[in-house]
Amino acid sequence: MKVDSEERLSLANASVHPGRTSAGGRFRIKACFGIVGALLVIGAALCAALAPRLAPCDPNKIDLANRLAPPTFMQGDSPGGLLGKDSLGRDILSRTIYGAQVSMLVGFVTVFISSIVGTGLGLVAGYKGGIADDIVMGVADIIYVVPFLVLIIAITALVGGGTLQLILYLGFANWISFARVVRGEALSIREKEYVLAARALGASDLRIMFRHILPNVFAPVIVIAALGAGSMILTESALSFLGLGVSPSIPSWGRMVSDARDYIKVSWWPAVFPGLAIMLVVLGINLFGDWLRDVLDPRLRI
Amino acid sequence: MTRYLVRRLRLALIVLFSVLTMVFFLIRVSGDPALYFVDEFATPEEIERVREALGLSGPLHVQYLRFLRQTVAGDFGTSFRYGCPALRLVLERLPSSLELAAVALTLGVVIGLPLGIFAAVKRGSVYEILATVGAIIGVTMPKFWLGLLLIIVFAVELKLLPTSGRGSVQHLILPAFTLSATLTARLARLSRSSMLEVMGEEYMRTARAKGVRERWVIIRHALPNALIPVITMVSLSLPRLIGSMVVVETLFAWPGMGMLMIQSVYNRDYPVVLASVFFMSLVTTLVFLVTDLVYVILDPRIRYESR
Repeated sequence: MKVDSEERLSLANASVHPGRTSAGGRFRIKACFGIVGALLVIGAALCAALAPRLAPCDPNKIDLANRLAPPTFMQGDSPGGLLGKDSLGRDILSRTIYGAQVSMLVGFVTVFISSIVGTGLGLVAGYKGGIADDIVMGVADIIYVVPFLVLIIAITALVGGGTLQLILYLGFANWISFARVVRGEALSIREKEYVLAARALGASDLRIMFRHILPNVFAPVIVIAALGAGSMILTESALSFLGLGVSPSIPSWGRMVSDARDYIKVSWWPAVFPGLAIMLVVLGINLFGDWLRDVLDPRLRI
Repeated sequence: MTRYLVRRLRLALIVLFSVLTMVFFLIRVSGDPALYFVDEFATPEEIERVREALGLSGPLHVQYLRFLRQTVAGDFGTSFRYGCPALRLVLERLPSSLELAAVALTLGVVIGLPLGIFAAVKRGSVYEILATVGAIIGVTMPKFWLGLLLIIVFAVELKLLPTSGRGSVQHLILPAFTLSATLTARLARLSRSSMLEVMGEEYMRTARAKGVRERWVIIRHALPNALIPVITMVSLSLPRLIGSMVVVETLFAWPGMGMLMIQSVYNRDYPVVLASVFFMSLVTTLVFLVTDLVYVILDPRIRYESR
């Protein structure tokens, strides 16, 4: 059902690519954006890796005497540090740096899981066709009608939450976009002459799938993975904002914004900085992913 | 046409049936709901009685069939917290969610579509920059953060609009705008690229060669063709919109289905959680169905190309 419309969408767009409609100048600008994006992602990864060294103080240290102290750029002699303190007097800069850990972990591990699951299922569906195809794509259709965030909330509520669980749920629920694209590619590659030749030489299905089809679907898989990491980080932050994400003891950007909600009438800084961090990271991932697509697979629309 | 309709309807039913099955097994994994009704001193006999009352006794396949029969009849069980049918609670919240979604959809189309079209028609203009930058910001901003920023600026600092709740038109502005951001951004992006593609088609050159005025060429020849993928996207973005609605409604204390669902999750009110999940899936399934049928009417080729 849905596949019909999605296929039409991609068909309608297959022949156009805005980045290629004019000459090299546009392409160079896009490359610059790609580099800016890569720098943002690397910056966040460094924050996550070097958090204990970079953070000026312990992210969980409570200092009730200085709660909601403003950032030093607003009030020079404030005890709040560079970005101020939150409602429990914890240092916002340190918490924001530590918050990168959860986001990076969730972003990369979930995408790693879903790309393996999705590529595998897509390969089987596209290459084998028939009943395998019907089952895989049927399940994809079913999962698609349940809004993704609602699905994850329901699973978390019914089966239980936690950081590891959340990563698993997100990873295993997000395979559809990979499976769709890989299936489509596998369908067309299956008919290529080199696949026929391999089969004529007696290669097994498994060998054909892994040696002849898989290498040809790497480019779109990498692009989808890059762009998917951004939406996984957004989903994790939304869940943490709703209080259903990672454990409260771990600093996470979504939960920091959520904690700051009750105090926006007196102080904006606890709400603004962690959200800005989310946006910058996701922006970086998207810019980098867009550029990756232009380079690797300009026809792909996601 | 009839055959296509039957095929699509059958598919929609299979999808809904599968969602129900998925939901049933999720409850099974979640443990024994009966334990929420008894205190810690309950004897095994008492627990068994509660399970029987909840329809949880008997072998698994019997329970499954009973569950299907009840849900088909619209019975999702009784809310643990409010003591009334779960589906009724969800339906009571439907109008306010619909109101929010409808306004957000309209905003998205009214802002996003013209922005994308102007960006394509006047390349290199301020519209194109606005559309490109706006598109990427709209997609990368977390909804809850955008909403909170709007609250800080328009409700706390400027005191122009209320922070939360439902009632007047003023209450609607901030949540609807927050909810529409992603759709606006994606629409601007898609309508721009779709328009660019159409502008390069042969029939555009033919129209111009005939001496048709440029404005008319765009309105009559380019737009209708460019809009087809746009309609698809609006319909396909519905699950995402419903997902964001959960967050936006919670942030703005908007009394819709999304907020009901989150509160039921906090209260461990499973029947209401299930009824909301099912109802949201039902809405998406129906919208997908209608979109596909609209296509058949718009584009006769689909009737033949579908197996």
